[in-house]
Amino acid sequence: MNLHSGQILSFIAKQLKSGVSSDGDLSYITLDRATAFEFSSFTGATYVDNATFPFSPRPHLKLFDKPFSLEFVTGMFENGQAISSVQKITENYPIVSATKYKLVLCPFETESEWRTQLRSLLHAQSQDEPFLALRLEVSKKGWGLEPLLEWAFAMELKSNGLITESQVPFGLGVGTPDTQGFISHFSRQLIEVVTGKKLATLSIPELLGYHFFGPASTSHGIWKGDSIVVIGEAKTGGSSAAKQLKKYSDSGLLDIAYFLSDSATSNLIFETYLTDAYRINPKVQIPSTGLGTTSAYINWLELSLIAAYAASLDLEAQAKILQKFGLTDLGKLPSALSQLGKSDILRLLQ
Amino acid sequence: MAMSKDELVKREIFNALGSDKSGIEMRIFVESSNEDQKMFSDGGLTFGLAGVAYGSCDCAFVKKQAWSDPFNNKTCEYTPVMAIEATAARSSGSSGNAQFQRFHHALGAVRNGALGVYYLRPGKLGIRPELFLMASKASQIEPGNYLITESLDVLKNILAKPYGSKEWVEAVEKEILDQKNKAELWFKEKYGTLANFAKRRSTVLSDEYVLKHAGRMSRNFTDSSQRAGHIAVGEMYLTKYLFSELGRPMYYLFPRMTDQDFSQLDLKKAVDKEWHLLRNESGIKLISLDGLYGVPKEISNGFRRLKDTPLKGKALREYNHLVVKLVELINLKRVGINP
Repeated sequence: MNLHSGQILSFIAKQLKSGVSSDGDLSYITLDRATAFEFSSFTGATYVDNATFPFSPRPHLKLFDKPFSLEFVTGMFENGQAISSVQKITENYPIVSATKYKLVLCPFETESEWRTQLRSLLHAQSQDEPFLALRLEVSKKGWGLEPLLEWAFAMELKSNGLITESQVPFGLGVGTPDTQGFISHFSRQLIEVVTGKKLATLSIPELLGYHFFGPASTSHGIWKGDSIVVIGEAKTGGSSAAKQLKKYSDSGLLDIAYFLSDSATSNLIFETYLTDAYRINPKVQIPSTGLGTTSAYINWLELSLIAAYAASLDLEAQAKILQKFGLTDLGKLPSALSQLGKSDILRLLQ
Repeated sequence: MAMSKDELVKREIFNALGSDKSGIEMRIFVESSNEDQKMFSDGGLTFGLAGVAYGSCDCAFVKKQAWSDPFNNKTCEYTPVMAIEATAARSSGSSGNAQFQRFHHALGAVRNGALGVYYLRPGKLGIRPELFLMASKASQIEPGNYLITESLDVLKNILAKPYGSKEWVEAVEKEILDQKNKAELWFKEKYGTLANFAKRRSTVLSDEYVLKHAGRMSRNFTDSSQRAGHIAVGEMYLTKYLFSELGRPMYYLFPRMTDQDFSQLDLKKAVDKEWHLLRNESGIKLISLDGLYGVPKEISNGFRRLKDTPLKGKALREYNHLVVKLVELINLKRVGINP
């Protein structure tokens, strides 16, 4: 293991262009609520609302059960029925609406130690600035930090103007890479239409965060190239992702696959967390090759983006969408969308 | 966005039931944790009996009171009170016996004397009524009670009573009785008699024994993408509990497999809970085609031809034909079970 808590906090702070603060022995990073929500959504870092089973929105963001038949599942919807995810989360977990958060690391050997730390954080936290706790399972190889690499990579892709999510099904059945970024001409148009240019990219955590709190403070780039699909496969503790990367690369649907590692070389440790499959590359360099928007997979990604958008709305706005698309059941939205031309979809969503 | 549903269901349970109830507390772990795989006496959520571990549960209510784990006789400081296995399978097309696949997870707790609960979250599909029957019979036979439910309010109502009090016992007994009535009514309307059930559910009911048969093949147990092992365990318990009142020896026959296949799986799947349960369940013995005597060559060769073929289309028709022939011969006592 070549990580320690100090490095991890510094690494996160660097991604956020922020700094590490300390209060006695406690080191932390201050996050605004939109960034905290996004960080928790990607990494599973928990809000400290209780010491038994603290909340993270990560499992609530599931959109599909059978993704390529576009069947909704409980998560963003309720078995295909409309729910307001924003309302559901804010009502059940008011802690997500604090103004600021202190992100702290919790290294532990056993779940009992984790709970002891949670109890202590719960006791010490203020309502105005509660804790967001990142689990470091030191008994696991790589400390269970793959989601942190996924988040960091997603932030890099986002800064390049790509729409990014973790655990997105890839290539109509090839597999599920840890992180994925994509953009297409249509998705760019869609972002403009549904957010009025208030967001530069769209992802489920971003959409929900946007509806909770407005745009996150983290900056976005604008991708100026053609359609692009990028994936990242994360491994910690020196494990290899060669097999998965080859599988994804062989699909022919990919512009570039990145290997995300916490230990690419022995002397360039955590800071060089992003390496592609072939060379150490401390910063993501995305080539502007592009697959074109005719790919069935990009088409699926675009449809799933609309579904994610619909799921992020409140019930009233969802009802308007149903009305516009002539539907009675939100579960039918993906199939209705797949029957329409893209210009019709944009017109209806306008 | 493709995370497992398990944590979502666990969150729902946690929100509905709360963590601390009149002297008992909830044991639950996040999805990324492997702690649930540990035995209960080691702080986990897996229950077992005499060295045989059952599947892990999603959460449990525990009481701080010394307890000896029947899996390994290890003493720990917590006693299991209620263990819950949860699934959202009804939202994802599991209308058939796929719902049986997690029955054994909570059964471990029932066999340890706790209240086992299999919570099938409401969805598009109904709960398989067989589950009520299995749980009802298990409650009669095993040290603990087994409750199948789609309502967290039912559990909330039980947990609202002080654990161990008369009110707690009555609340549990009421639910178990309702379940029994529901199960018996369904069985009476659908099958009427055990003989009728056996005839329609791949079971031979002879004067001497009960023989359940299924078309499982080795790959069902070695391919991790297939859940056939889990479903086979569920079917085994359905047979065992339903026919237990007859007091006859029971057998679970996989005619497409041989003793050699079993031996290979014993080696390959030495730590696989489901295979271990199939091989070690008392009162019902797993047998291959080699476990039968008197099987004509054309039938045994037929099964061997199909041993690695997925059962669909022509292969399924051939298999069904062979099974009909085999069952005829068993009923005529020309084929029997090796001692």
